[in-house]
Formats: sequence, structure tokens, C-alpha cells
Amino acid sequence: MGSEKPKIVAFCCEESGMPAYEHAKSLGLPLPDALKVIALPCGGKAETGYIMKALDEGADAVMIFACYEGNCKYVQGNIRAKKRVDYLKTRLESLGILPEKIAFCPVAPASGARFAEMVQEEVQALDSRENKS
Amino acid sequence: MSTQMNSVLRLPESLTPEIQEISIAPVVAVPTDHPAGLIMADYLASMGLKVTLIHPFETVGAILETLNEEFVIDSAVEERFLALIARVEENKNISVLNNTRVSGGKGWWGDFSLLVDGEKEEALKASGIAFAYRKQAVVKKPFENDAIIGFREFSALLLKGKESITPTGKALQKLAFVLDLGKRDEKWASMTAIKLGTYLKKAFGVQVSILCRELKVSSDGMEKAYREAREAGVIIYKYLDEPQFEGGASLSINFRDTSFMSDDNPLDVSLEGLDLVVLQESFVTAEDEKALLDGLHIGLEGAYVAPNNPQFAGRTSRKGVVAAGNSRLPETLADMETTALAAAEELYQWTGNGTYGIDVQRVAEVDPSKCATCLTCYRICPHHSIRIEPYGERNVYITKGEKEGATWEAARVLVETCDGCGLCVSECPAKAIQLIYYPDMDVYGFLKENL
Ligand code: SF4
Ligand code: SF4
Repeated sequence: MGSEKPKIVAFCCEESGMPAYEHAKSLGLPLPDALKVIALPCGGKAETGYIMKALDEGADAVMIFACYEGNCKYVQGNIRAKKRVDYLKTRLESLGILPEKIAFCPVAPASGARFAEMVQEEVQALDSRENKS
Repeated sequence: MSTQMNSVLRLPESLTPEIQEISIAPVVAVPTDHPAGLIMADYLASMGLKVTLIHPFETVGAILETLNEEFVIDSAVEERFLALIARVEENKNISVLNNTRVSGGKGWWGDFSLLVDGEKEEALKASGIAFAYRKQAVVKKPFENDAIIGFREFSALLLKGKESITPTGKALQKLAFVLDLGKRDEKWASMTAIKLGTYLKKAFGVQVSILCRELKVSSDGMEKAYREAREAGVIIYKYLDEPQFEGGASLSINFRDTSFMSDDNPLDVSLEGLDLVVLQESFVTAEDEKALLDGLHIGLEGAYVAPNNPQFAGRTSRKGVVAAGNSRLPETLADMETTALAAAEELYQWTGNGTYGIDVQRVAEVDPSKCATCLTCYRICPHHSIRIEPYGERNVYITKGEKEGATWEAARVLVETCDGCGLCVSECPAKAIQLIYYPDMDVYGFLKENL
């Protein structure tokens, strides 16, 4: 059985994040067992409520995988998601939650390597924060 | 760490698809002043659709004049396009409105109307719209000098096979591209400068500098191209404030560079003895195109949605509207022709079959009892698929004649054109909207179970 930590929730845009995740899997790239993947029709569907709920249920980090700027099928979905994440970060601090726990990650659909890399970076960031405290 | 199973929540297929048949008349409008418009009209008419070609010139043939401006064409290309003109003029499925401009548009997939000012002002009905307009390239030169040109002119020079010669006839040894001058970011210019620069450096040993405010590497192909350029010896600078140009016998550019150091610690750089300076031009959108985009709530950005899936070339942000030619981006002749065909094909999918089955579950739905009529969803829906209407009770819509019985006004999702993206759902401050096929509870439930 795989390890239960770190619990990372990845909200993935159906147009970019999901294909990138599938690609990473098909390449056999290492991803944490406890990674939870949630497909959304657009990165812009990643609501504040979803992100907060994930943190509330005990996620160690939440990542939002969306399209690169200028590539959104719905014109501004990715930009909206990014703005929402930025705003949420400013609010998290006042709630005593580390803003670093949420990350906005643009990714191309055929870029499984980048997907895995960004997840690994998040894992390392989590590790180093844990070691510090 | 391993590659075992992760828990994954996928987009649900509608559990029991509920198909609603709608009929779409195979009638389309092609407002254009660009050869790409001719290609689309020709294709759509050949597939049996009724096409109205709307253009501002005396004759259809005049649309071709733009071909020379934009591309380098030889006699074979010219013949191909003359044959295209002949086909368009002869085809019974195409009615041509000469001397006609577009001043607005409204409506939805299946029911668009275009305001046209020709011999008479009229509203033209169409199920779908394929448009293609030119953009005028404006090069803002700091002063008159033949060795300062725009990208478009430079590409034309290269296509003529004169890679190593400047417009002034000198051998090309030192070249500078200057990007982002007082204007918004456009990825194409970075991409073009990097690719051409690498090529010229490798093939002819030209000393190439690229000056930009911010290099756009936000796509995977771009990172590779950028690395190759660096390896080939193309020098890339990031200027802090507008570069200063000096003319005379030899051109030079002075600026403060931040690519080596930080923004607080810029280096003064002076590039001297340049044989050629290529400036990023700005593109001015045609009046007709602006009127059309405003009317249809597409906006310039919506006109060039470049989705990750290249299969969607030509799509705009609205169902039933496609774009080609300069209405997208400046491109080569081959790209222009392929995009135009892809766009026409896309529109054919939407308007060519007469009737369509729509899964009325793969859409969003408003709970009118919660809606605060704030218009957020109305503003942000990329498909302009939300209207504010009087309601009776939940999901029973009062039609125009029955207005008295309406109890309140609320947003309503137009089932036919909603693409189920969920943007309205995540932005509605009253939490009044849900995706029928993928309610929020699915996500909350998954999180609860799996964390
Ligand atoms: S965003 Fe929500 S509250 Fe505002 S108009 Fe739309 S449905 Fe109503
Ligand atoms: S789900 Fe998307 S397409 Fe449908 S109404 Fe909402 S914003 Fe518009």
C-alpha cells in the first residue's frame, strides 16, 4: 500500500490538467499515492468553496492545474481562477493558514513531465516546511 | 512514492442523457474583407449551406487585392485564388452583398442577426457566422529611416529569399528586433523574433539581438525555441524603459537592460552600427469587425481563443461563430488557408445538419429563487448564454405575452448554447447556479470521502 501523505488535491482543467495527469501516468512518472485528482470542465470552475473544503478536510496542499494564459477554451477561465487563488491567498493568512498551501499551476495538455515536476516541487516544499516546524 | 492508483474524480457523463432536438436552419453569413472569407464561403456553399457573403468592395474580386499586401504570391497562387473567385461568383448557394458594411450583430447560435448597411439597412438572419477581416499593420517608427521596418515587411523580405540583404541593399550583419513597444503583450512577436533570429544567426551568421519588455515563454514549445536561440548565440535583452533610437549613417539603440541583473540594478546597453531594426507593429482592427465583435459580445480576445486542442482552430468564444484571416493572428499564406478551412468545417458541424440533439443535462441551471439578479453570470458567460428573464416558478419560464403572471426576474441559462463550463457557477455570489451533470455536491462528497 502506498503512503497516506502528503495529501495533495489537484483540481484539473479538463482541457489541460487532466490530459497532463493522464500523460504523467502513462509515462509512469512518480506521483504521490495520496494525490487526489478532481476533473473540472474548466480551470475557472475551481471555486473558492472547493479549495477551502479541501483544506478543511485536511489536504496538505491544493493545486489548480489550468491552461496557459491565452489558451483558455472559455477565454478567461484560467485568468479568473488565478485571480481567485491570488485573492484567497491574501485571506488565508488572516485565517492562520499558510498561503503556500494553494498553488496555481498552468500546464500544457501534453506536458505530463511538467505536471509531475510541479507536484514533486509541491511535495518538496511541504517536506521542507515540515522539517522547519 | 509509486505510480499506484490515485483517487480520481472524473467529469461525469450525464447519467441518463436527456436529448432535446432543436432545429438549426443551414443558413450562414460570411462578413469579410479578407481572402479567408472567400475560402470559408466557398467551402460552406459547396457543403450545401445557404451563404450570404457581405463585403465592403465594388466586386468580390477586389477582396483579392489584400493578398498582395499581406503575402508574397506567385502566379500559381494567383490562379488558385482567381478560380476561387469564379466559384464564389457562380455558386447558386452564395448570395453576395457588394458595397456592404456590418454595423452590429446580436442573437444566438441558430438565431443570429447582422445589421448591414448596404443599398438598404437591414437585419440579416443567419444560424451561424464565419468572419475574416484584415488588420492594418502600423509601424511606429521613431524617425524616418529605411532600415527600420515592421515584422510584416521583414517576413515579406525573407519570403523573397533575400535573407541576407536589408531593404537599403546592404549586407545584413547586425540586426535587432524590438518588441513590446508601449503596447499589450502578444505572444506571436516573441515567437517570430526567436525563430527568425535563430535561423538568421545559424544560416548566415547574422548578429541578432532581441529587445523585449518581457519574454513570453508561457508555452512549452516556446521554452525550447528560447533555449535554442540562446545556444545559437542570439542575445536577448529585457529593457526597463522605452529604448532610445539614434539615426544617421548607422543606427543605434540605447536602453537599460535588466536581463543580467535585477530590476533595481540595470545595465546601460548601447547597440551600435545596426544594419536593420525590426519593430513589432500594432494591428488595427477593421471597423466592421469591431462592430461585429461588440454586437456579439465576443471582444478581441474571444476572437482568438487559441485552445490547447488545435482541432478547434477557428473557434471563437461563442458557439456558432468562427473566425479566420487576420481576425485571428497574422499568419503565413498556408496557415491562413488551413485555418479558414478548419473554421468553415467547424461552422459546418454546427449549422449544416438541420437538427441537433442537445443533452440538456450537460448545462448549467439557475435556481431563480436564489438569484439576486446581479448580472455577474450574464457578464462572464463566454457563450453569452445567460439572459435575465421573468420567471413563474422554478424552471418554468414566462414567455413574452404572459408577463403579468411573472413573480420575479432572474437569470436563465439558454440550454442550446451553454457549453457547461461552469464559470457562472463558480462566480455567482448567491450560489444560485449548478451544473446539472456535475453538481458541487459531487466534488464535496469526493473530498469528504477521500481525505
Ligand atoms: S450571478 Fe447568480 S445571482 Fe447574479 S444574476 Fe447570475 S444567477 Fe443571479
Ligand atoms: S456553464 Fe459556462 S457556458 Fe454555460 S451558462 Fe455558465 S458560463 Fe455560460
